[in-house]
Amino acid sequence: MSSHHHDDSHDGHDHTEPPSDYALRVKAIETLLSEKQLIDRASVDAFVDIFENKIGPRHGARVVARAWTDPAYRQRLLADGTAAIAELGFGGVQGEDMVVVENTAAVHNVVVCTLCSCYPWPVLGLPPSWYKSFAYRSRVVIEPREVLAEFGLNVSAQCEVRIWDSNAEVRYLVLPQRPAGTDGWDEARLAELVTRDSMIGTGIARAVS
Amino acid sequence: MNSIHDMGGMHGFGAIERDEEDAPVFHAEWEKRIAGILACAAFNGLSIFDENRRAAEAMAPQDYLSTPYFGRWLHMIETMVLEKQVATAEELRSGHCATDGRHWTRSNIQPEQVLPLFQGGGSARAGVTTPARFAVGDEVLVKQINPAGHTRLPRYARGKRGVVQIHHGGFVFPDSRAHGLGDRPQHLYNVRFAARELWGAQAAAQDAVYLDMWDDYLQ
Repeated sequence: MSSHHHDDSHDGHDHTEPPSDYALRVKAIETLLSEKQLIDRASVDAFVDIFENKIGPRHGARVVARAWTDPAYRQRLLADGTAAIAELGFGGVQGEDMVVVENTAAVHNVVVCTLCSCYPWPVLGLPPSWYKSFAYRSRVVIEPREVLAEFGLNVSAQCEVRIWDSNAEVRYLVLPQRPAGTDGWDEARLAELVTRDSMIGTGIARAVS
Repeated sequence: MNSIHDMGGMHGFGAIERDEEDAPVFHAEWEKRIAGILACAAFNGLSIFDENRRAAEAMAPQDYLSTPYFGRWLHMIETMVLEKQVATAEELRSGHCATDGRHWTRSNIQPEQVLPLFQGGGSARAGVTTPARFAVGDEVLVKQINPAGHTRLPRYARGKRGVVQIHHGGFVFPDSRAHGLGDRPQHLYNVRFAARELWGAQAAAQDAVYLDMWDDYLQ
């Protein structure tokens, strides 16, 4: 079962058509565990629905927009990320213990999991392919500035880059800087500027043109 | 274990292929199914995250590298099903039940229970009775250890010095849990390592890497 599966998706980039081998093995284990009454297909469907529809970066964007507009909330978020995120109704698996780190003009934070793919599911959903890729996992800890430059982000020499390697069960979320020119904007409008990558730290919030 | 999954600081994997901001999280139907199956099986008590990670890490490096991400999830659950004697290799191959196998102790969760259970989660926090050895601001030295079993201590931090930034409190210990050896709860600290401590003069003087360190990892 662990023998070689020759396909062309070497790097966690699963864009290509998978070998039918995987589809067949998954079908086999789902059928088997269902027959043994150890999983329920409708429950599996419910988990898939969560992964596809019930969690994702729009949740994180709401947290960020709240922090940008409500200084007291921002303070609570930085002091106890889990509790402040729960105020907006978000929490659960892979987000039970959250720490939020704030980007400023002097500090730029970036999150990775070098050992696997740990990621704050309730606020960001499942991770994008690049986050799980061998290239990102291997490189961002040793050459963060080069990696950020590939993402189009040139961090100034004066700014400190902090890489948070999520090796335990604590999950990290970046609070990006609020874009200039957004004075007076409400939360809903601000949330649209908050990208997934800006909350991982490989991007910044969308600029206002 | 010192295997390929511990890839922080490695060279040779090339450029990062980015996908679009709103790219779907699954790229094939089988990826959706295995994600749902793994989550469902975990909630039903088949295995814990630490055991699943241990299973992925135990793949031969050449297999780990040539298996797509969700293929590694499939490998995790196949490994756990066999290891816990829930089914035989022949049953996995055929996809049909031929033996009784060992059943999980927890009940088979029903669809309406899924979302509340997911949103409830399960924190890895745990009470510890021993006082914390370190406080925020203390300098710490990471042990030079090379366990053959599961660990969450990356090679690049072993033997390095850092400064405690956060005391997270008590957390269960993956190195024992992954092998069914108990929770062994202990203090967990977030430690800042200067990039130059880890990588030498090539790193920017002001940059740093932050890692969570269980008490057992620290000298």
